[in-house]
Amino acid sequence: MKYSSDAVEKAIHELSKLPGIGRKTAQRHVFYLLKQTEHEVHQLAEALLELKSKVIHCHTCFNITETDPCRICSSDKRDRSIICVVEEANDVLALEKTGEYRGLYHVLGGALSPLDGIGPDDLRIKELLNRLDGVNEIIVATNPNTEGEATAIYLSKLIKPMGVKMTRIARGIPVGADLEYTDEITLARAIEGRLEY
Amino acid sequence: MSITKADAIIMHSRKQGETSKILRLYTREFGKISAMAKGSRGTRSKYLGALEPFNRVSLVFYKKEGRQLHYLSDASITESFGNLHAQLGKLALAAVACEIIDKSEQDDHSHPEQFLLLLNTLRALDQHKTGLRNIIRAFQIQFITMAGFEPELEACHYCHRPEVDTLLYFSPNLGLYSCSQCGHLKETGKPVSGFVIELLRWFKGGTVANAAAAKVSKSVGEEIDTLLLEYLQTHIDSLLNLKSVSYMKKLEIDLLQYKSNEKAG
Repeated sequence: MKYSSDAVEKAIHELSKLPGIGRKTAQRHVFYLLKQTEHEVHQLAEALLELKSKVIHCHTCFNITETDPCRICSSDKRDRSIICVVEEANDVLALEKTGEYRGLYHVLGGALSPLDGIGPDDLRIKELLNRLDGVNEIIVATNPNTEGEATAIYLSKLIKPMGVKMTRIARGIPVGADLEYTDEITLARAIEGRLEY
Repeated sequence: MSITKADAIIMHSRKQGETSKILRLYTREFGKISAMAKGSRGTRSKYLGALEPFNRVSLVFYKKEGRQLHYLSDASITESFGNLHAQLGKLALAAVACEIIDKSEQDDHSHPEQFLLLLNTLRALDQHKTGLRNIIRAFQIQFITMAGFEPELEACHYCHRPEVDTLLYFSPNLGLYSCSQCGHLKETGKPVSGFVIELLRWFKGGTVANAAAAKVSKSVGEEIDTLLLEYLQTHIDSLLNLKSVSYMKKLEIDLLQYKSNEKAG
């Protein structure tokens, strides 16, 4: 059904372009926004506009930032001898939440995928190679799936001969899971990567 | 809608929404199908590691006739081919085999022989350390034969002489060759060496695993690869843009370039 207001139609059309949002959900969001005060809707619109005008990619690590270099790359408190390689900027956020890691990051912008034809030139691998001066360790934190593993193997083939230590994040059973329901590949990796108490 | 079981190989998986995946599977019972695995990317999903490409899984799904996307109920690994995931070259070759099946097969067309061919190809790639490209070459020629485009390689089409000369002419369009004495395809065919035809005969008649033992030089290998790809693409339009083949080329060039830079440096 089309609404008599072009503004409502336009808002539904634009919101339904977002991932996971269909026309029905977009309609609900539009009617919710109509009930809000003008000030609140302005704040939302401004926040969205600022996203495009202020947020950029850091030219060193390719994380999203408002300053270039980003606050992680320019921080004196960070260990500059370690770089953690991740697929997407979201992964930086996830790792930062742990508070366990104090090194730098490098965002590849995806992972190698033979099935989708994504090769090394489609990722920021050359940029990573240009950052290796003074680096002692590269932690590969790509996702533990086929594409992530392929990327990790590729990076180790390229970087290990340069004398830089290559490590991979541990893979295994997530906290709170049941062994009974864990598949054999995950269990095998958990056994492989076991640690001494 | 009925709950159905199938023996399946995962050919492709892509993310859907926050925690789901859409899989393209090649099953022994129903041929190619697509299935949604809801919540399969959640950290507590019971089939988190099972739904990775190239795994062979025992599948339970809700099947509805006429629907293109089925819903997965359960999946457990029956064969996981761990070595495929540990080596870039093996992974790329496995992707070529899966992409050829994925792009050429229609949904819901059962072809158990082709299922076995893909399964044996993945097994051979997983188990062998050398001759991996020959496994894919054997897969390609056996696949095209099963698809109904069997090339005539036993003898020259015109004089029926089985002995091969140093130089022959193969026509990808007609799927046959002419010897240099007959010279019928001199204008339209592709010049190929007799050794290439002998190897193709062997790859076509034997098992994919045995193909790994063949000793093939780089130049002969390239000749076979070009010929096979052209033959596949001539007869099956959907194979014109194989992403896995371009990926393999990119990967080779990149690693070679890096090695030469390293030497020069």
